[in-house]
Amino acid sequence: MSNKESHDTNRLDMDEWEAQINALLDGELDEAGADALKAQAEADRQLARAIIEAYQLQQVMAAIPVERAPESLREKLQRIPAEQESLRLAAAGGSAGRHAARQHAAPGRRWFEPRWAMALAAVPLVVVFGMQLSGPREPSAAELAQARQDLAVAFNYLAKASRATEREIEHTIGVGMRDPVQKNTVRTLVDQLDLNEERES
Amino acid sequence: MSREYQQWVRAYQDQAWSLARYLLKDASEAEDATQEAFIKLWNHRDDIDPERIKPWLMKVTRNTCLDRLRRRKPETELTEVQAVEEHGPMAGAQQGELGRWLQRAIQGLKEPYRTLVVLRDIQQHSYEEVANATELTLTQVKVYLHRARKQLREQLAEVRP
Repeated sequence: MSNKESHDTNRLDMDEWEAQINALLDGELDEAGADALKAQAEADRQLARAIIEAYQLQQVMAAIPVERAPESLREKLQRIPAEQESLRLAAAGGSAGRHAARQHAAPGRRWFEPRWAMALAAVPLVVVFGMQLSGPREPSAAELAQARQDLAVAFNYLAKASRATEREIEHTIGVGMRDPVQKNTVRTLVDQLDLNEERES
Repeated sequence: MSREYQQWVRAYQDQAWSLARYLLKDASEAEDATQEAFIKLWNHRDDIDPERIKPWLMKVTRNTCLDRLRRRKPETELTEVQAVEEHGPMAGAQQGELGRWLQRAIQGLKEPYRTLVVLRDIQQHSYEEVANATELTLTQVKVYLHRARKQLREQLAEVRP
């Protein structure tokens, strides 16, 4: 047998031994296999040394303690459910909030849109002016002209917003209340206009 | 479910942390990776077979660590290997620290050898659990583990008197 052949045979033997040694350490080698390996090791110093080293290595590795997680990490891990739940709710709340805003908050907010603000602002203006007209002091022609102009502007806004108002009132306080609210508002304005015209004449 | 989760934390936090430490070699990053794995556990808790929580968690921890290693600069890994060589077992033996030398030697192994040695030889998981955690076949686990052990033995033999 040449040196190379001898080396290859040795290598094959060692590979086979490696498998056998690992099986032995894992407790997977049957009794007959274990006896055979032991007999071989008694005759082969290299194999004997490999078995001893493997065994020692296994013992040392098994003795290495599993490192305890630091306290800071332990606390973080315990907090995960609460934190994740908060994040989930915040995420859900964000989209739900936006959805709710579209569904519920928007009708309320629409009352503050410019056309509504101006139309509503026109009502107190007319009422206050009407009170002034019904007071002891007689309005001047200029004041009456200004009042009439203000009233026309208010009516203009109310007319434009009328249909939207119907929908808004209907949505907010129901169909039954829509007509009374609108009629009362308009009646107040009309009454004031009639009063103004009477005084003018 | 939160109670079950807390039980899982108590049962597996050290093992997950330890694996992350071996793989990442950096305490701060290992802490982040472990936390990330447990967040995934919490978020997927309803999808995981309760009987397979441990291998699932170890797999996720390992994959999280490997993702982080891939994002690292190559020289970081080299530095760690050099550190293992410079602090041979004799230095450790003189201080009665063979185990510590071995820990460094394990950290110097390539993947999947490192994970296999940690899971099987240090943490003593069963072969089936190791196979599940590493997504390898049982045969692959055994073959790779043989190679890993052999490498460690050879390293040990090289520096022994």
